[in-house]
Amino acid sequence: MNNYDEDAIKKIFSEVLGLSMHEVTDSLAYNSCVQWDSLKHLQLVAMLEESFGIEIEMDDIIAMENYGMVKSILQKYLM
Amino acid sequence: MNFVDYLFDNVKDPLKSCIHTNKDTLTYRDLNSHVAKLATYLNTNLGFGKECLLISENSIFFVICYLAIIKSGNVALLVETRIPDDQLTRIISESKIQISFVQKKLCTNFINISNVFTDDNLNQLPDDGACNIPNIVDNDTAVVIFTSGSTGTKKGVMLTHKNLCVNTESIIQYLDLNSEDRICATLPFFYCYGASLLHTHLRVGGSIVISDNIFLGGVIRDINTHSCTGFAGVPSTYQILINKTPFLKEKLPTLRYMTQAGGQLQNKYIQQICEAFPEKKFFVMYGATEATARLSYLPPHLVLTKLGSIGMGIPGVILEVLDENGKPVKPGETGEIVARGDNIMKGYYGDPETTNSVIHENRLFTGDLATVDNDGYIYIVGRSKNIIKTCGHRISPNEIEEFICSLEGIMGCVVIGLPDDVMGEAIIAVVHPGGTDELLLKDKILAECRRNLPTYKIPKSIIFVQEFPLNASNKIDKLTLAASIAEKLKNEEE
Repeated sequence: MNNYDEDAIKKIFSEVLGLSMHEVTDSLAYNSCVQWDSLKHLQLVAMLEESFGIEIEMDDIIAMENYGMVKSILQKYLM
Repeated sequence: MNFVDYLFDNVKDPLKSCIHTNKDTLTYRDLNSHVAKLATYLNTNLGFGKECLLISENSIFFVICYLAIIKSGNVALLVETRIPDDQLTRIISESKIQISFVQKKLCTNFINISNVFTDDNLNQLPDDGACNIPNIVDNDTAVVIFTSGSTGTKKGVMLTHKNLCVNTESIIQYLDLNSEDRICATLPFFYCYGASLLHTHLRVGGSIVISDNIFLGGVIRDINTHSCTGFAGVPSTYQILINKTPFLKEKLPTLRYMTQAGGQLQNKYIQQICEAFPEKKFFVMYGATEATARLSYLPPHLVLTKLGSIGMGIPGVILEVLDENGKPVKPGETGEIVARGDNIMKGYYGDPETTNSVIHENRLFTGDLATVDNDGYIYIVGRSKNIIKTCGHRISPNEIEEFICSLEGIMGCVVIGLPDDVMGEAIIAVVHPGGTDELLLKDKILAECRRNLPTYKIPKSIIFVQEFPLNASNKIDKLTLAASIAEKLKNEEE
């Protein structure tokens, strides 16, 4: 799977953070979401890398601070 | 001597910065005045010798509350910020907590705690200077650190003012710390290794950078931005940095040394770090919460010739490897690591029975199995306690086994830890599925674990077997099982 697929990204977030699909919105952020800690972040990155067959660069991993950013960063890898 | 008075005994320049975060900087004078104010408040309202819970990530709030509780002669009870509700409820019911300091951003997670003091209260303290701090004796408890035991329930390790002073002094000595040192701290202060970073740097009049990033890779930037001289990590810290970031290609010109403890870092990673940073000192160390923090270190110039060794006892600690008869083992033989020193804990909180099972005649029996070489350097070969160390967390397999066994359609489950490139050890659940479809069962187990267990306790893999290997006493032979699973996973990869 190498194409950008927003539903797949959302599903990973919902599964890892234990949120329902409609709670995963662009404004969902590391700073304000109590479930999203640095260990979960590592898990999110690992699952995104695995399911899309990509390797995300460190600066991008650090920049993925909210769901909106995650989507736009992933587009770079998948377009 | 009061541990906090000991820490601030040496401050030569009160205007020097001591704590840096991404947002704020605090000088020694600021920190001292905040701590004195809160300590006075606690003495006025609580008295002394009372228990105070502290739940906070690394922050200025943590540092002020932690030091003020200890300075006021009260006892700081430290728990991890991700503590599950049932475990916290048990701790609260079994202790006599008078006030709970909870970081504001975590308050929504802990709505059932009463008499909560947060960041907001800290900013509203009265400014009356009359500070009447009681004298404490060396053997008074200063801190109780709750750590995971092998049965899955938390044990509170009681550390005295003296424990904290002597261990701080030893660490400063062998790391050769001075007021120019600045540590990049990513390890939590509620964990003994993290706390030791705070203690040692305050005592020498150095400084601490609280590095709190969404991703560990951010420490590279923090070390450079703040010109840090030291960095500390557990195995997973270094494994994440090596495998997921350009760490080994960095120069990190200000960094003088790095330390590693909290489990065994595989030799190949130690070698990679030493090759990448030949001018920097790399300290491999060993310790236990029950010993305040530190028990041994390997002098950095021996890190490659004594590869894999945890070294020898730190100044003030006698560290031995003893056989079943209490005699030191000969080189090559295996025994248990036993420690003596003023850093050995007072005991487990409310549990004299378990205390007596690990401390005999002032000696701490660590439960770690080791051997020695001809020069007396110690090498760990295993743990007699049933614990998995993953991402800096100590996890009891029993807890995860019980949870998985409680699910429908499971005949049996054994949880083991296997070496992992990123996590230190990875949690592997080996499941006897009965007649249930394995694929369906796998999804179900993982979904239930994600729903009910904290992230760090979720198994990385689920493996199905039709029977478990048994040992002579008909118990499941975990060592044999782990070896066969490791073999199976290796073959699958190839």
